[in-house]
Amino acid sequence: MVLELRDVKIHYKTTRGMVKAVDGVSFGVDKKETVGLVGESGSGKSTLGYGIMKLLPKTAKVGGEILLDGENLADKSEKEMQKIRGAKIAMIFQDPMTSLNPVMKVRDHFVEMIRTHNPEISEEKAEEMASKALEAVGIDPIRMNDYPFQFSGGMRQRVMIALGLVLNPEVVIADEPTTSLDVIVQAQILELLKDLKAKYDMSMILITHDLGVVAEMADKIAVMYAGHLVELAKSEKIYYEPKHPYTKALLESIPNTDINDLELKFIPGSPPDLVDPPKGCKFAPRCPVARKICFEKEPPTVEVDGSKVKCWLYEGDSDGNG
Amino acid sequence: MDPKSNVGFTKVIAMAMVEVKNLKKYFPVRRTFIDAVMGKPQLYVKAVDGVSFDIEEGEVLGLVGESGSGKTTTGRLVLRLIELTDGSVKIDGKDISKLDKEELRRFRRHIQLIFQDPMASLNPYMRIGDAIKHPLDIHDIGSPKERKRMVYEMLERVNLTPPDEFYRRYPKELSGGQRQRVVIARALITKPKFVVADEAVAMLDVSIRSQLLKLLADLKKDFNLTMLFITHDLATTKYVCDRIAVMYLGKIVEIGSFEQIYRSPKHPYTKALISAVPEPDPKKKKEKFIPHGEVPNPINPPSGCRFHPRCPFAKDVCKVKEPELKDVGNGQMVACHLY
Ligand SMILES: Nc1ncnc2c1ncn2[C@@H]1O[C@H](COP(=O)(O)OP(=O)(O)OP(=O)(O)O)[C@@H](O)[C@H]1O
Ligand SMILES: Nc1ncnc2c1ncn2[C@@H]1O[C@H](COP(=O)(O)OP(=O)(O)O)[C@@H](O)[C@H]1O
Ligand code: SF4
Ligand code: SF4
Ligand SMILES: [Mg+2]
Ligand SMILES: [Mg+2]
Repeated sequence: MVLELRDVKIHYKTTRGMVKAVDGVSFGVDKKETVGLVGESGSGKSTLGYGIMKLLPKTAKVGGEILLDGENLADKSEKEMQKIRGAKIAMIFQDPMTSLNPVMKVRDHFVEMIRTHNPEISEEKAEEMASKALEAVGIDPIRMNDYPFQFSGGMRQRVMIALGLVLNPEVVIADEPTTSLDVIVQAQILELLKDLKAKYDMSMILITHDLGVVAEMADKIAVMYAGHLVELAKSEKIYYEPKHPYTKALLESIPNTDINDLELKFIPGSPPDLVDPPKGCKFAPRCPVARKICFEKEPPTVEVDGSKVKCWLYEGDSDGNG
Repeated sequence: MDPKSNVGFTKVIAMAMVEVKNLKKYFPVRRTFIDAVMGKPQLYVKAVDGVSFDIEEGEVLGLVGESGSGKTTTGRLVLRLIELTDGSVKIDGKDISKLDKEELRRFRRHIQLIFQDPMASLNPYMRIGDAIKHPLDIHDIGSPKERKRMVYEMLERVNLTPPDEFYRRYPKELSGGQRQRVVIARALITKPKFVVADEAVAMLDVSIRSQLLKLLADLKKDFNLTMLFITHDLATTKYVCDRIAVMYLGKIVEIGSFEQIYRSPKHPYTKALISAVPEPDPKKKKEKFIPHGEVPNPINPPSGCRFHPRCPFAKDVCKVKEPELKDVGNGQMVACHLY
């Protein structure tokens, strides 16, 4: 296992109270494996991504263990983390425009990034590496001399990917890499990520709110709701045998182009306010099969034929090791 | 063939609510003073380059295409938020390109726009009830008491309940999906004859997107809405659109009924848009056909068929001759040399 999360908790201190953005999440990422991290806006996906990178604001409190190659990142100093970021584990951010420096040429982004990790690398060598990385994502290396605003949204995302991959990290966290793009560019970028991942033997955490996007990419899918991991299973299992009522609802709500499927399904309501979440199962107010206990006690996580599920419906199905 | 089943024939009887003919918008490219003095020619961004369509009363037309294909510009033109370079737009028989400023101001209550980004289109300091009431105030519709009642009814209608609670809230106190409901409520409060929705659900999560599509589908029935529904994602047209127009680089390349486009898409670009929709079934490996690169610059569009540099089926003729929109059966129109 390259990366392992053990009971990770990330709580933000706010004026309104404690926001339990991530609350006891555990899963592992194997070598060359892609894990899809799925959930609605506000479910804690980005927070978890930033938590793994140790890029959270000071108001965030982190608990549990995040192990990269068996080493707990909690024990690393900021100085050590700077070495790790980009080289061992890289993140491709949700919004490429705000994460690239508008007054810096693309070339300088690469040089800075490479030389922070390896000061011994010469500027020429760094430029050569940048050339290769840009070529790999389908951008003419000549465009290194352009500024971020001179690229379209799709091209900027390619630049971000090239930056994420230039040091050949073991794990890449891609946070909604295609959300702001149109469907054709989205398909192009997903195809690119798939190719690059195979070429460079990387592991990946792909964060998205769209189950349709991860299904084509991921080996395993982790579904988050209001800070909890509610289901974890192989991609086929998530699609063919979803266990958790939230996973089922999420799957049904994806618009498709099948003309024989004309009934529009959706999840009523919206995710809870994390300052004051419902007692018991956090999905209970929106769950079509909620029972009395769901509103009273938080369900345990149980294993049901290979899937991990956090729901009272499956409580009797195993030894209930929650 | 029975002449009565002929599409052209029925068109004569049913009066279109919206009639768009040969719509064009050329944005001048800014020249420097030196360029002008040196006599460099004025260049134009041909964002919309000869678009025609009708929308019947109570009908929703989907306008689909990649970013940069000219959808937003088309939407702004038909509401006359920007001036036309050429062509005409008639709404309920009125040629809106001919209205003067005052006439246009008074006509605005009949034509409304729903934007992509609800946060940007709502005033952060205005309570949402007042935001929804605003168009009634501007157009002086109803007494103050009636206006309030209409807003309450509308809040209930878009499921922002209890209405008195939501009336008092500010935009930042709402979720993204709720804000978009406010924007929809505000657009519909004047009972407009025609609405343009530009990427109305694009910024929302998939699950919330479906909620909003359901709401739009219901409102369409209740209000007998006539709408231009702009989207880059063909999958979102399914529940609200009766007909679909596919746009590429300033032109419509295919237009047909919702059934025709979903069951038998003809234009290679339409097929690409369909195959780009993510497939949640991991075993259903879709035969993907994704064009390379991006929409070219509309200052100097490719010769012949504008799609030819990205089209896997391009033939020699495609490079030199521009295909015309023609009927391939039952009113489905396609602009492609394959047909
Ligand atoms: N710096 C912060 N301080 C306080 N609360 C925060 C902070 N950042 C995020 N949150 C809260 O933590 C929760 C999880 O947010 P996060 O951004 O991780 O969600 P997400 O799943 O990535 O959502 P999205 O799909 O919108 O990107 C939300 O309730 C959010 O409002
Ligand atoms: N005000 C403007 N000035 C110059 N070019 C513009 C302007 N608005 C849009 N364009 C250009 O027109 C083309 C179509 O844009 P747009 O209508 O926004 O497309 P879409 O909504 O399909 O993404 C693009 O090339 C865009 O850059
Ligand atoms: S625990 Fe209860 S409320 Fe929660 S998802 Fe399961 S059945 Fe629904
Ligand atoms: S006209 Fe030719 S290039 Fe254009 S879409 Fe048809 S086959 Fe392709
Ligand atoms: Mg996020
Ligand atoms: Mg647009």
